[in-house]
Amino acid sequence: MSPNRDRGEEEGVVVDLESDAALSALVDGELSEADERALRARIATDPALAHRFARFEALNRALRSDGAGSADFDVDRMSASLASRLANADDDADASLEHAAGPLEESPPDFGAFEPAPATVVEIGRARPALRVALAAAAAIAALWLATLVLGRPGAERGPSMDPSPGLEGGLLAEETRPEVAPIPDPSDLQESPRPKAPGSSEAPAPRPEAVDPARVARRAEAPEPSRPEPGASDAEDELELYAVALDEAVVGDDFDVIDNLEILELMAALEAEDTRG
Amino acid sequence: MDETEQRGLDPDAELMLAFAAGDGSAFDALFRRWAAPLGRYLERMVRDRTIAEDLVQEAFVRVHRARDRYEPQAKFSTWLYRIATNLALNELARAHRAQPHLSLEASADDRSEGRPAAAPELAASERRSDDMMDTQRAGERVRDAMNGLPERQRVALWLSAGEGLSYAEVAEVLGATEKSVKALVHRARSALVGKLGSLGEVLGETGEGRAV
Repeated sequence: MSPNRDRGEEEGVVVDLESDAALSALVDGELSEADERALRARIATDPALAHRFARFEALNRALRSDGAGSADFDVDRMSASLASRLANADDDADASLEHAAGPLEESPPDFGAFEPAPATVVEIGRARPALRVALAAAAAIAALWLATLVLGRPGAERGPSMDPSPGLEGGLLAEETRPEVAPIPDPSDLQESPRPKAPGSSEAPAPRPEAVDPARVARRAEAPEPSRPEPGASDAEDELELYAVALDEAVVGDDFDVIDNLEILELMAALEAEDTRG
Repeated sequence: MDETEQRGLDPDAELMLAFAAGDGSAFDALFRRWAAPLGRYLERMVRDRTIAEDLVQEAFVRVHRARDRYEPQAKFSTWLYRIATNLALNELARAHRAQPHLSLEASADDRSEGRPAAAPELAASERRSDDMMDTQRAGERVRDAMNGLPERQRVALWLSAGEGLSYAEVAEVLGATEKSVKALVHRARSALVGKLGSLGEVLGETGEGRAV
């Protein structure tokens, strides 16, 4: 025994922990013959050590007797249960191997009639992604349909965000599809200047660079009257009405016959020339 | 000296090798030899006979599965106890996770009050002699006191003192060194003796004399 022994205290009795460990090993029969002889000699002469050893032995007896009086295990029943468990384990392993080896589309469902709940869960789980896609597609179609209803037909998009031209208040029409119509003129202005200004322009439009073809002007002058606008209140009213229709219905395109301002100017210039010559 | 002893193998390892070679009766023999002792050990561990029986079967399912990989490097019983101990520790951990509010003392109280499954055991114990009852009471007190020990100390002491495994075998089961096992067993034993103030009196009534 080492002279530097750890010491503990228990129930007022100083316990030599190294001797305690040796006693424990002695109880378990883990000491060598020489060590055992030496320790038993000490126990014989040391009552405290003997008492400690007796308690260790009593504890061992209690541990070994624990459960000794209980009913024996039914090994036959356990053996039958084990055989059943092993058979099930083999079946599961076989099923697992078949499931893994077979093609995916041919593999049968791995749930039985006795387990409807898991089967339902699995089916719902598998169907859920497809259902989500279908719902998303339906929602997208509905949104498109609503957008079409609200904005009108294609080519007549509405909304400020669709209008790249900041000068137009309201921005009802996209610039590339907006009809080139004059703003609503003041009737008094129409008396002096029948030529309305183009929307968004602060100045009168510049003449086109190409020269006016007199023959063409003459042909137009001889054309039937309805297509020739006359500067006056009635023409202004017609133009206003057309413009209002265009604004209200946002109708643009081919079916809206807009009078070309430049052509009016050309016509007026031609008439003035005729008058001058006449 | 039979052939098994000449080869230096314990009889259980020989049976296991026979089973690995395709002898199904060898597996049955192993089960019949070890089911009851292993069941008692596991019942001490998990404090429930039904769970203990289930764990015994599960341990042998593992043995069955591992037949092709089995190598008789240690005693078969050591290997078997190692499997069983790990299963029991897993079961205890699982039970603790499921019901963390239940203390070990509460489990002991439940057992002492007598659950339906334990009723036959209690009825049988009433027919036993007073000495046997005292021994049982002492065993229950020790068992309850052991529940307060750290897990590895408890397992080491059970395997050593309860199952009679050597320190080397306990070390094999726990994956520890012999020195560690010696320390674990000693600490467990010292803590138990210190914890059970009246242990000396209780055991003194049933002890058949002290080996001094």
